[in-house]
Amino acid sequence: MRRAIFVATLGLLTLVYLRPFVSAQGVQDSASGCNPFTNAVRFMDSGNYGEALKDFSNVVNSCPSDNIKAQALLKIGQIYLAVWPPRLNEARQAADRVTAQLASTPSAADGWILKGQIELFEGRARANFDAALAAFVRVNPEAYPASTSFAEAEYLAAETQRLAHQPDDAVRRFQEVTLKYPRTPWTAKALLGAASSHARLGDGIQAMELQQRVRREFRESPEAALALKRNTILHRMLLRGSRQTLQQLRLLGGATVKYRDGIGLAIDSSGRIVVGHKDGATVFSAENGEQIRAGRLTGTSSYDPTAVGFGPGGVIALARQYFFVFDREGMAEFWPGIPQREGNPKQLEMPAFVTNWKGEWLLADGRSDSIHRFSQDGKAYIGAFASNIVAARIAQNDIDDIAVLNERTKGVSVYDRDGKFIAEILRKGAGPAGSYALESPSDVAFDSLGNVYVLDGPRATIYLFDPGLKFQSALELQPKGITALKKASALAVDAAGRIYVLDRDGQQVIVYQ
Amino acid sequence: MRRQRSWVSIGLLSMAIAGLVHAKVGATQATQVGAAEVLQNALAEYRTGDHKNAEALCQKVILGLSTGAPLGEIQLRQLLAAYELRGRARFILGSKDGAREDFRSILVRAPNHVFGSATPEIPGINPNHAALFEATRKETIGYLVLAISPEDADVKINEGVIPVDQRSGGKVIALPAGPVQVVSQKPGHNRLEELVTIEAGNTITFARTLERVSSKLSFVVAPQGAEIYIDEVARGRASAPLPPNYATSAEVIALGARDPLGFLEVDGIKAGRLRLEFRAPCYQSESRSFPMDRNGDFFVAPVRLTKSAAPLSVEGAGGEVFVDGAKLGPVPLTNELCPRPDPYVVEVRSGRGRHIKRVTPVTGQKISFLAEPKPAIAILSLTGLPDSRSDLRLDLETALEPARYVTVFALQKDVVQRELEVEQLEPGWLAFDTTGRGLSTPARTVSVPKRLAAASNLAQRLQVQGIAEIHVPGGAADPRNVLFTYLAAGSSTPETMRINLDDRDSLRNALALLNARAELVRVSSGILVADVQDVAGAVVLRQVWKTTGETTLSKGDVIVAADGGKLQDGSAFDALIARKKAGDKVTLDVRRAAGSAIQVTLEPLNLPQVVGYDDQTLLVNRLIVDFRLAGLDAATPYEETIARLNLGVMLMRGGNWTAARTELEKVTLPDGPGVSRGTVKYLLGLCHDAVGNTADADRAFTEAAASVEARLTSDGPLIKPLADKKLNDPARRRR
Repeated sequence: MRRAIFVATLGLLTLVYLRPFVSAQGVQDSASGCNPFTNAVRFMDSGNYGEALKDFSNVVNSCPSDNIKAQALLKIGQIYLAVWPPRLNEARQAADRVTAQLASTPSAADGWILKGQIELFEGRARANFDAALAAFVRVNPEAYPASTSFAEAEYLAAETQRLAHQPDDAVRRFQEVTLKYPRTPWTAKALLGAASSHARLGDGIQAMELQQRVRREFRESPEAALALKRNTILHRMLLRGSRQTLQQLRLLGGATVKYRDGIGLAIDSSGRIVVGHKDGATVFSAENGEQIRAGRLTGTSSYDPTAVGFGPGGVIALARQYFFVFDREGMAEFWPGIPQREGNPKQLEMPAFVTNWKGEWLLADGRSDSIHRFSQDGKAYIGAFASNIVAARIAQNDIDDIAVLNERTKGVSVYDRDGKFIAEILRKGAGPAGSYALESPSDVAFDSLGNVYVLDGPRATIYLFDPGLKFQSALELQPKGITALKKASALAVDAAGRIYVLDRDGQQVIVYQ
Repeated sequence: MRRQRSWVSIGLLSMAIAGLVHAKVGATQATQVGAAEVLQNALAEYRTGDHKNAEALCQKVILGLSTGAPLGEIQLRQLLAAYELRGRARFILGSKDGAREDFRSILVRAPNHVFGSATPEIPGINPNHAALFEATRKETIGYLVLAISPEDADVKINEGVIPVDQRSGGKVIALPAGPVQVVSQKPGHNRLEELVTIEAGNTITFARTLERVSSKLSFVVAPQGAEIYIDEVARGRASAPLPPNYATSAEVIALGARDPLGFLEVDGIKAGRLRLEFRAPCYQSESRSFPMDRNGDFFVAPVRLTKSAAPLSVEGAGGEVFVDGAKLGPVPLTNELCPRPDPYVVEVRSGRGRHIKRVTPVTGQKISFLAEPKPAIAILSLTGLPDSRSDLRLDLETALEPARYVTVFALQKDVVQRELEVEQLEPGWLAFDTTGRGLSTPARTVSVPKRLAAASNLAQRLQVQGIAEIHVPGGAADPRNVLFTYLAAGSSTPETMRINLDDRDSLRNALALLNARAELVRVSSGILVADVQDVAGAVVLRQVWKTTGETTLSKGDVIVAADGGKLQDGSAFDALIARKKAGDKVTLDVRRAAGSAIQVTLEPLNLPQVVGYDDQTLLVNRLIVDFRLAGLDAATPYEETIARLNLGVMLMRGGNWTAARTELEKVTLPDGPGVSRGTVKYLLGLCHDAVGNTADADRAFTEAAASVEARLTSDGPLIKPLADKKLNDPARRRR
């Protein structure tokens, strides 16, 4: 059963960096030995990586065209990054062959792009970012005049700097993309990247200007839709005033659905929102509010979960001392424990958890007042992520910062991806929107621009902080609208800025806008 | 003493040398000038009765003129006078033989000489002298009577030394006794050549008839210049004016006098059934049969050819019309084209470019078009074209004809050859692939400055805006896949498009690239707005320009309606403004961030746009051409300024920093947000920097840095940080 937890599915890692697959029409060489390429692409597009690898390997071995060979190797590398867990060595071998042995082909530059991507899969240390950046900047017109990937490489270099917490440098590099290649699909992404970096630097208006440019110049693109959502988020934070009342929009799942003893909410980057409750977990699409699936806890009447979230590979997990995980094959369980010098591993009491960029578990432990790291399969204890913190809730943003609701201080501590403390939202404080005081914070969440939302349940108010943790606005939850809000206990924010509030006593999830 | 003697010696020697030199130089002149003077002296001596001295002086003259060299008319007259005077003197001195000898000398040179006529200064003629002279004539001269038929035959005696003209009394010819050669000939007749011996005192009659061996045909044709073929052999053009005797011919008069008539005589035609053909450009050829049963002179009935042409009419706003490179005149123009198998190249050339049509006229079918010259790019290709179905250069010209803003045309090969030689370029010098990699040795070896100069020189001489080459990298195996590389005048960086002439999508893409235009000004509200999901209206982010009178909108204000119509979002507001003109008035209903509602009147304005200096997706060469034209077409000085600004940026991209700087120095924009004074200064700084002029660059960057709201492009980064970065860049100074 436990094996089933980590089936090969596209995980978080692949969301940003996997290159769009070249269509079969992109290769027009009918020479024998090259033909399998088209089939291989079809297999790849349908997720049949095994067959795709076979066909691409045949192309590499028998196609006389070096350029098609190089493209096949790049595909092989991409597949090795797409599988879970990624097979970095094999991907690297493919990339090396392209950059070393097929360096004169038009696709050679893409080998460097693949290498940069591999570096980012490898790790998020300074060295990884530096190596990735170095690989991406190798793709330039002087070195590879025949390449068509300059805009993409420049964009990825900028995105690398954004991830590396270098928003100033990222802005400059995103700007390079927009100036040098103002009409490519990468331009829209670069404009959003620059906007995101401006938002992180505290210039939300500049971010909105760039996002609006995406709306204007790339009207029908997915990026334009995302820009609208982000405009909406920034508008609420910067332009609507320091005190606002959020209106009830709808009830998640409808008026008849009740969640017994709701424990929390979590949302992933693909737009799935999960509601955890005593009977299991229910998953909805944030885009249209429709239920996607439900995982019911069966034969576990004594199990009283305290945390809900997504695990590696997108599995749904419920936790207390141990995990119940729902994947495609059903329900499984696993027991993380901290190894002891003698005796059995020490069990945890988990009020919250997240999985980081690498698929590792970050588990809050009420017994040790710490957050612990476990390997992707949950078997290996890696070490403490943060200590001396009574973590009630954990949230994570798109550049891997971790926000922890500290039950002891009633404030929120923010750590970087390595567990280094960055800053803290104190229980009481002041910002551009005036002063605030948290009475009894019950949950914390990030939106897609890195703004921090702190739910104060008793006050039915969400306190909104910008990425610099400056207080920007207090959002009061409409107490009566579609339904009467009884006790707000958890929240989540989707990509469109809609706020989901779990009403534990009302046994409902209310969507606010 | 010794010194004095030396000087005397030198003086004498000099005089001797001078005398020698003088004698040499004056030798020829002395024979003429001197002979006349000596002859005058001789005559004077003769008149005074000193016949001896006269004889001696005549002797001097005779010796001086008897050098063997051919004598001129005056010299001959002097020689005859000297002989005559000496003969007369000798007679008086008693030497009759001497006198006879002198008289003979006269007669062999002038058989018809009249005694005394050479010395008219001597009054009276001694009858004895005259009798001796006539006696000598009898002993020396005989007479030849010519009776050669036809009378107008050309006759030469002794190869023309003795002039003959049978038709003007030259039938009896006095000749010195002895053999003479008589040659007579006439076109269409056999040639006569005989030796005739002249006997002194006798008359010989030389009667001969030249036999007719071929015919002469005379033609009168309209139009003048028509070419005449006899039995399919070209015999010449009837270009000569009509001789008067033909002009009065009834047949000629019957032709009418519409066109000038041409005349031609053709000799040497053998009798038989001739086939005559008359050809002239723009006329229908005509042929006729001409039976000729004997040789003779014939006048062929005059021929008038029928006109055959297609009327040509060119309308348009200006320019000159050229046909096959020859200037016809200004637009509008009506003319005609003569039918021929190869098409004509009809062009209208103007300062804006060219409009080119290749037409194959059909008699009577009117060719008319409205000339709209567009910037022209001439294809200068001689190589790289595999043997294929057709001329790829012409195929490409046809394929790109729908391009809206540029005329791509194939230049004649001979012109290409000549121009490449002038520029010392080899064919293939523009053979580049789409990545800018040279595909041929000339392309790889021609230096950037040379390419820059060649592009400008060629464009100037050919009166085009750009030049191009085409290449077929796939050779004969893939002959329709063409690389089209072009270079604008003023650019050193060629650009290449790959065009598959058989692929509609490929052609459509090529045309789309050629048809893309950069806007010079954009109408703007001056207000930055945003779309927000749950807000009905345009959310104001910033008001950049003062376009709403005294009221300035602030961030968070929402424009809920424009001209009474509800606005859905910011995009709707921007779209509405885009449909307006600068200066229009738009009423806006605004809900202020604080909650109040106001109404303001907005006047949109035109904001200058500039292409991105670093934009790698632009077709730089095409834009150089485009912006030059925009400058020419500009309706206002402001538009011209913006065109110049953009041209400057594209010249920078084309590697022509000097030309770019020249353009930018003429651009004056006010300070302010967006593309403004700071933008121009920064770009000028880049130009100065590129040519190593650091001091001027620093000045320009400093001025640019002072413009805090200026941007590199309308949506681009602020100029100030860019200029500051340049000013603080130590690497610049090291360079």
